[in-house]
Amino acid sequence: MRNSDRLAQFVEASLEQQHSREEISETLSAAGWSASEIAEGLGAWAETQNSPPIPRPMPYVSAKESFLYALTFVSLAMTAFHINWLGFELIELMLPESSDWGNGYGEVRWTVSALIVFVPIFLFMNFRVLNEAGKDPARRRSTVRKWFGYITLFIAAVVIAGDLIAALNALLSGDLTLRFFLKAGLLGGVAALVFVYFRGEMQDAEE
Amino acid sequence: MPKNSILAVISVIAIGMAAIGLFVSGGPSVGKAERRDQARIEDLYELRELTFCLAETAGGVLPKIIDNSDTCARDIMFNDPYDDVPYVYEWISERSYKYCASFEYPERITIYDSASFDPTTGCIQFTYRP
Repeated sequence: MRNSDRLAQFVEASLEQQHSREEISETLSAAGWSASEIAEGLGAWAETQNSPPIPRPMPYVSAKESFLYALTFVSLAMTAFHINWLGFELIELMLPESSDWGNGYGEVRWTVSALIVFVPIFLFMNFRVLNEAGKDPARRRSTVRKWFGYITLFIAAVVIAGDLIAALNALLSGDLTLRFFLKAGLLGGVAALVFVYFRGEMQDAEE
Repeated sequence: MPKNSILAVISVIAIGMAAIGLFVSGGPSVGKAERRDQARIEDLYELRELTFCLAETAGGVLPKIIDNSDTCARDIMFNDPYDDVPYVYEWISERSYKYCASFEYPERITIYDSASFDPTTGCIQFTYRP
């Protein structure tokens, strides 16, 4: 049995025996449970005098939602990646340098093709996910949603940090050309948009 | 910033950039023309191999005229396969020569070796190294 299960069992039994939340909290604290663990254990039950205690809705995992969120996540990742790749190619075509290798038109076609496929998939999947969450607020508790949301936030944060490091390094090395600046700006801008969007999503999920 | 606005911004960026990319790269007809140009480039490089062979068999002397001799016989295109115009060989010096073709998008051609390509004339200048 997991720690959290044992805690939940104890809290349920205590509430059934009409112990107050303060009493339960003190008992658990004396037994060595941390404040956050106690809050989580008590938070799993609604604050009523009802007996038996009423459980609060808990996060859940479903195969269907895993599919929906995985597809949304992948289509967003592919969209963001190809926006940047295409942007880099267009910037290089606009501001060519003698060290450029290849003409870039093949890459432009590839990235345009990828965007034509992935942008509608992302918009459709995102609309569907939001629509379902709007109709049924229980969907906001999806564990899969939280996982994909936080993974996206993590990747976006790492990209922003890496982008800043590269920009600062270029600045300090005297390599901060207009071309580099535009590329770094595009990468950072797209990552920031994704970050802000998913931070909002995760705030909703946590609430 | 509301979530829907962020989503709209991402969508506008993606769609706008895809439109610019499509405009810059050109449609299917430009893609086909680029492939034809690539085939022409490959033909010119085949001709370079032939030229090298002819020069080697002539004792290290670049030929003034190119023909598919018995010693260097190979399956090679002397004419543009799409408009049947002959490729042009031009002797420049004892160590350099060029081949020219009528390219459709010469400004999009990239040469990856030491040869130099002039987009205005459509000629690749090669150096003969015995």
